[in-house]
Amino acid sequence: MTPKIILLVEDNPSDIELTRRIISKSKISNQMIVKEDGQEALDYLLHSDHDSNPLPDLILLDLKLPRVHGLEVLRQLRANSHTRYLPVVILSTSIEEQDMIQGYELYANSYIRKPVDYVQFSQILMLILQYWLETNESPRLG
Amino acid sequence: MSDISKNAPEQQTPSNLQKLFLHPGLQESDIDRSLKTCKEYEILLEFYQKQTNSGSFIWNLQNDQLLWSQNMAAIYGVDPNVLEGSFTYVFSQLIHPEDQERVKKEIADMLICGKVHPIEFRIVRPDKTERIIQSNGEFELDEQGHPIRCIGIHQDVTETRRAQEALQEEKIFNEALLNSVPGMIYLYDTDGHLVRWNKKHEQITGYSPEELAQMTLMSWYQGDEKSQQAVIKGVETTIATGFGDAEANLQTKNGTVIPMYFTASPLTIAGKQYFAGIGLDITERKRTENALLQSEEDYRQLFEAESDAIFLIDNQTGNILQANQSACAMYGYSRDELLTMKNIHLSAEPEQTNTVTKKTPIIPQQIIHIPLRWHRRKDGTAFPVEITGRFFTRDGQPVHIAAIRDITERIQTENEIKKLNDELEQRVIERTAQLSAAIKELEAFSYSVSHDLRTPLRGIDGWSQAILEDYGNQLPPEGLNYLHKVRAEAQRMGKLIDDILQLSRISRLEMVKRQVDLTAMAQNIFTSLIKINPKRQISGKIQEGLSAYGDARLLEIVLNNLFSNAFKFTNNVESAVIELGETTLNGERTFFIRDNGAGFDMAYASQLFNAFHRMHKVSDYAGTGIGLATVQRIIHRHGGRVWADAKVNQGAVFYFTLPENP
Repeated sequence: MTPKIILLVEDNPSDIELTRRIISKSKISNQMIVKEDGQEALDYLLHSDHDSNPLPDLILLDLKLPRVHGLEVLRQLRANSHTRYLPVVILSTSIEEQDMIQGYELYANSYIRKPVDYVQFSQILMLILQYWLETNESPRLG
Repeated sequence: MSDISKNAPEQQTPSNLQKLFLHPGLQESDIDRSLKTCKEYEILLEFYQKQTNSGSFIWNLQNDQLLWSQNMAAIYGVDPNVLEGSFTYVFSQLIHPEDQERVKKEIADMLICGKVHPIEFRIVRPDKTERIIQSNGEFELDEQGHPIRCIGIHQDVTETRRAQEALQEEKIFNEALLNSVPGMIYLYDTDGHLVRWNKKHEQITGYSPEELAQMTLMSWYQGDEKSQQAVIKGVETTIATGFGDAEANLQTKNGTVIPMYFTASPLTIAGKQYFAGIGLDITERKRTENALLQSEEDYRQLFEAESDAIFLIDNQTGNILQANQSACAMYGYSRDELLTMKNIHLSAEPEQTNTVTKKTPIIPQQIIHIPLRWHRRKDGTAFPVEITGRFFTRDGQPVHIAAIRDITERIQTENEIKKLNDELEQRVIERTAQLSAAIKELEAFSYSVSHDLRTPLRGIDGWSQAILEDYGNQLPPEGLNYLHKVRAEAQRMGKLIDDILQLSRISRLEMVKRQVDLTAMAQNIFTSLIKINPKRQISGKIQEGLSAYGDARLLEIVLNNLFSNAFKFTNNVESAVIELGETTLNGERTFFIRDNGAGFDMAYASQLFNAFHRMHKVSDYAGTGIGLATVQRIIHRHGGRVWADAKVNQGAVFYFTLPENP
């Protein structure tokens, strides 16, 4: 079984490391790609050769990102026919309702608020992986 | 004389007189001579009697025979030749029937006393004319003193009596006239002595005729120089022009002073100069005049004392007919100047002033009000005035009274207020903008706090957990404990940040109010809390049918906070009871949440709702101290109040009110 590709768009090193730590313990075979700002993520997703840089099966998107904001990344993904249906789960620290509403208006698949409690966070992340990588079906467009 | 010669008897037959005086024994020549003489006497007698309108008679009392003179017959209007006869006959035929009885009695009296006295009576001539006769005579007596004949004279006094009666009538009429005049009438001689006066003069002055006869022109004004001067001036005018008058205060006998009006005209009687005139009591007129003067004075005072400028203006010409002192002061003109001006000369808007003056219809009692008009002073400066006017007809001419108030200060004040309002509005706009900016900043700050402060906490918690997972077996129990504490603190800080964010958010959230079922809401919250604390023995008493008008999300935060507190502070109670209900306090619907937990000391209740203020040690009861501040902020945003009542270890009650109507 080909490993599932998970794209984490996140600039905080600790978050990156801890997320990687949680995902590495997952039973689901996966490959994690990290992009540390919005522009990098867009470059990877929209402007690269997908043979060498395959499109991910799941995108974990932070909102407060350097250069290009997470919501802008989302908007451009949804505007592109290749990336339109990619599952995007927003992982944010924000409890601002506006962020949540805008996220869903741009067709985010899910909005998760990262808890401070690491144990709780790892449980949530496991559920997400299980659902979006195993349970859910999304169209894959070339 | 012709009458005499005509009436004189020519015949030789003895006349009545001849028969009367014929003496027996006289010689014929003597007789002739005597007759001649006698005839002459008779002529003389008849002439006299005719001239004096009288006649004479001899009445023989013994045989009642009567002898008449010629003129006697003429007086009685009968033929002299038929006059002879008895007195009784003549009496009954010629004496006026109404006088007969009286005359008869008079004659009887005369006969008794033997002496004739004059009497007067009326006769009726055969031609029915009446005459008045005055009679007198003498008796001829016998030796015993009895009257035997009466020689008498009758005089026709009709004309005299009638003239006297007419005079008397005239006198009575004049007197009545004089006394009926409503004033006193007087006649002074040129020396100033009072010569004649009427009854009214006596009545008014109170002096008797004797006293008045001693009075002079100046007797009435003792010590009253003003009256004296007036009277003297009146007399001078009378002398100069033929008529004079004066007003003076007359002093009466009893000391009363009466204001009088006197007139005088010069008069000449029997070559002597006098002044005649009348004097009228003018007390009433004076009183009316004084009342009028007083009233006029009152209005004049009012007019002059008024702080508004007041004008009387002719509507047709705009001429100023009257102006008060304030008008002079307000416009800077003298009164004489104003009275030659028109109202448009005072206006800085003469067109409008002219239109109002000429076009305003006269409606009685209607007050015209012009709230703002610009007028001009003599020095050229314009100033704002408020005008109140009343239009009416005066002496057939349309006029109006205009009361004018200088409203310079009021306009200034109004302008200042307007300026202040404008400034205030500007300031409000500025402050609002500043506030909006501040809110924006706060929102950015909150966003930053929620995002950036929580992120490292997650790292602290995450890496602590990583140590526990990866190296937990290499650490002594104490080390493990420390790491657990690090994680707990990190999580508490996360909670603190969340609470602060919530507190700031509820102030900014737009409220959507509707009727909220508090009972259902409370039951859900209670159920959730029971799930989280499954080991707790807590009974909830939630009153049915509780409902309030408000924002559901915010009210849920209120109930959640209050129920959470109740759960927390009943932690050490064996059988905890949490109650939600509704009551009426001071006529106001009040909700309450009561528990039987730890309670608190009311001495610190004033700080209960302050953010970060805690009533208990963290080791006893965990918490951030923000929950009640949040509750209070939500209740206040709804227009309600929240307060608490508690005792240490005897539970607490939290009360809150919410306005009932939308």
